[in-house]
Amino acid sequence: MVSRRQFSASSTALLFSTVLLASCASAPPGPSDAPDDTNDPYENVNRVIFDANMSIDKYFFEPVAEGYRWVLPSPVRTGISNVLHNLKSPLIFANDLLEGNPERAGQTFGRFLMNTVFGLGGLIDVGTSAKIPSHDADFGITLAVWGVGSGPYLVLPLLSSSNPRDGIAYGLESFADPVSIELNAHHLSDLSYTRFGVGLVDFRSKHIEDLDELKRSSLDFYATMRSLYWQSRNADIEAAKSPNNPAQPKSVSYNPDPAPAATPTASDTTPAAPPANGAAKAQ
Amino acid sequence: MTMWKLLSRYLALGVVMLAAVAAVPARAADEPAAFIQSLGDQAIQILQNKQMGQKEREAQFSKLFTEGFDVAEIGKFVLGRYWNVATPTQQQDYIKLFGTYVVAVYANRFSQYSGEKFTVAASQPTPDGASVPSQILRPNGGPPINIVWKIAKEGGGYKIRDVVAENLSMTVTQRAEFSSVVERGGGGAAGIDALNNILKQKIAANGG
Repeated sequence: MVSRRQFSASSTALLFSTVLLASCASAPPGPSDAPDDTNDPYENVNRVIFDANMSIDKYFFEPVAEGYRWVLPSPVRTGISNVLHNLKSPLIFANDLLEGNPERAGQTFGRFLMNTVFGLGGLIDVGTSAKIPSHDADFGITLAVWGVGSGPYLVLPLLSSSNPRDGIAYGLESFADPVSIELNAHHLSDLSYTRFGVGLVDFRSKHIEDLDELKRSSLDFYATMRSLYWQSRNADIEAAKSPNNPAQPKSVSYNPDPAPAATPTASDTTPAAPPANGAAKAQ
Repeated sequence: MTMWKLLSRYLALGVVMLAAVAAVPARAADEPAAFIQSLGDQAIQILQNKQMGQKEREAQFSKLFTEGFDVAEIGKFVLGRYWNVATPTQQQDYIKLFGTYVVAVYANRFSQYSGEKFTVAASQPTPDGASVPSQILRPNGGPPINIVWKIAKEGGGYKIRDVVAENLSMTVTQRAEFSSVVERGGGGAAGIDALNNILKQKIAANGG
């Protein structure tokens, strides 16, 4: 439910890392026997946490997000959102470099400069107007690029969908975030918390209709979220591995006589021609 | 989390069907692109027809959807290995329910149209048909949404087999969801019954 990045409450992060390491250690080796690659051996526990997250969301995050949207006009919310994203740039930049993507790092750096200087400290997303696309990167993706496996699906309290690799990476990252380090060094850790809190509300306020719609249409909301999580995570990792081949969704091999093995097959080795209008990947 | 960005775009899928078709007219030779373009055109016409009532509009959309999508094949794919577990009667019930369910869900999303533009790019051939990239441009200037249509040749024409919005595949997601429902319903024939029952509930909840 919660943006996984703007989190600087170190002690909590540490706690999560510990819990995750523990679950990592007890994870069964080898691929899970869950059908269709759900990779979810702890489904029963995960569902309990998921339900709890949903309740907290219903009675806390969603009402707060509604209020946020009601009180602040759209341009103000866009500005806040831009500032928050701009503040993530140092971390994204570092991860771009660690992934061995100098070009992407250049984009991140360029955007950061433009938005900070010409965009009034990040309020205005000048970079996107200048056709430098924004992208996300995090240490979990970096580890994946380095060949670290994800481990099983985990639903974390409050933080929702994750896995041991990405959860630990997230914990480590919150220590390494240059912006948080800077704030804490100036005894401004309150600002770090504010940033985290506003990040949650900002994020949640953007997805009120999405979540409602998905809840209404899903037959099994938990399974839907799990599938969307794995698909998007894998797409991010693919994008980080081959940044020059953007927006190439994995083609799904279509088997008219479905068998369990006939799930998605990556066939993205041949870089396809970009769309005729020269559009770049939208994120 | 990026997932959430993708998610909101995934849900904009319904919006695709509607889109005010602009720019890049597909070349005459590019049949797959023309097919998608034409579906988009027809969807816009339905949306822009002010004389039409809500009921009539949904009926028209439902017809267009059934013509464009290979609902039976998608239904089979989505049920995955449980298709062969189901009895012939269950299969029939399921396919009927699945069709109604998808149309109901998408008709809902369809009604959220707000002036989006839809552009289709050149298609790329695949073993059984083609893959057609497209983009939805939002009037409020948000980032465009990339949608890839997987279509298959069927008879003289084409049918849509999957819609992949920002890397999130409609059929892969539904397949994960449906098999979870069957499994938790006890697997086998009992599981299929459970699935069909939930489909009925969801159809009712989505005004189908």
